[in-house]
Amino acid sequence: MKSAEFYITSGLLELYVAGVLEPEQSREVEQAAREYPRVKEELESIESTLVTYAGSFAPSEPPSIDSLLEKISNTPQQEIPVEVPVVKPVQKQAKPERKPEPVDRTITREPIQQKVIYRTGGYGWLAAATIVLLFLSVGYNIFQYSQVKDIENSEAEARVRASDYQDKYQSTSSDYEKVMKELAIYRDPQFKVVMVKGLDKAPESEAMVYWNRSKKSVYLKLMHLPSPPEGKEYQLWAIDENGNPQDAGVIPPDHMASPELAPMKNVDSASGFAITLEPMGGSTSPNMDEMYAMGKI
Amino acid sequence: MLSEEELVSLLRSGDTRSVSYLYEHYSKALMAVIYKIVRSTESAEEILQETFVRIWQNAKTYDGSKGRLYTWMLTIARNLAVDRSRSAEYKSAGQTETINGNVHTLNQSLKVEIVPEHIDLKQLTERLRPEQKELIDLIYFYGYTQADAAAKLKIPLGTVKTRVRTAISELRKFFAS
Repeated sequence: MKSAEFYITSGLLELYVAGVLEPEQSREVEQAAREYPRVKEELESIESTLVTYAGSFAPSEPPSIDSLLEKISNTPQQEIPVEVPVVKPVQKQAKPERKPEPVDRTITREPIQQKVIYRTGGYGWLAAATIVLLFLSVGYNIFQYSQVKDIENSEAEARVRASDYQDKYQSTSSDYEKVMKELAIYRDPQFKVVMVKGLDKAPESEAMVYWNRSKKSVYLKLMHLPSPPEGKEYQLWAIDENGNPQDAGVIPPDHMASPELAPMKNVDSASGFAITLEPMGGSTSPNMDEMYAMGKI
Repeated sequence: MLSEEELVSLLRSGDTRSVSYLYEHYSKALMAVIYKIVRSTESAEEILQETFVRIWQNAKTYDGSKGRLYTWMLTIARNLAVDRSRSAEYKSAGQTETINGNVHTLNQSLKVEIVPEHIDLKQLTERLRPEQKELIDLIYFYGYTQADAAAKLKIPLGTVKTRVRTAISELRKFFAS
């Protein structure tokens, strides 16, 4: 057992409170807390700081305790613990990231001439979005072939993953089910697949958006997008035929590196999709200066 | 002000006052953590209740001599939230969210968070540097380990520890004032 001073200055206590230490390290901190009152005090102080900090980000006041107390009065305490799923927020990669296929780009991308930031809706957005959509239409036919190829590759990749799981029984059935559902999405004719390609800011960026025209659901598969800088995250937008953007959700950090489909928000109608970089938590309207990728249906 | 030992004792003996106390002191923090993961106030409320029910159910098996209650509750809340957000991903047929529902959720996530009056959220977020805030988010809200956080942010493991410690120290000074 090391000194109290060691534990206090090590940063271990802060990590313990967050519940992210390995079991052996956690046991060590707990023992130190039993042995050193100073360590215990420090833990309490860190805890209370984090509880206050976290609480300031609550979306609303928690519901009244009444319904909880009622539920509890009907719930017996158990002698053997009721299982809580143990999940890590960071999923293992199913497959290493593959390199982007060389794309036949015989048309060069030019930056949008008008550099104006539109924070609210209105005609400015319409103009800018229309320019971009028209621009994309011109190059669309050329990209079509590579688009189809990429989609075929993704489907093939998913089929390989599915057969891997099936043959080797290496994963839980839920992983297998997930991949089967992903395959079902590729094959469902109600799903429109849109290839979203990188613009000047990140030319290697790629993403695929799956939009179900009847159910309005949207799924996103990221292939290559640079890690967002601190304090920012990516946001997906659907653009309807009038150039109006609709928020399709922010892209959760643990999906940045995942080969799986991320569920996004439903959108009513879309002619295209765009990904912009926004401050953490997203924005109500897209920052045109921070558009990373765009694709047309 | 109940001590940890008193709380554990009340909880294990089936005294619901312990739940009232825990809810009063920790429900907001736990709800914020859950919300960051599931991004829906409605789901967050459900999972918050599930968390407390689980705490109640498993109270007798909680070994008070070991860990701290808050860390235990936080882990339950986070695990339930991550599990829910994963299983929600593939319910394509079951999606009943309407556009209105989504806009509402968006508004919820963007409006100014409810903050106790004595805390100025703007001042609070300015207190931490962006890289500190992001690290705290990863570790305290999403439950990333040091190694995962280091990998994600592309910083050395040692930097994670010192940065977290500095950030918490800043927050303590802020809340003490």
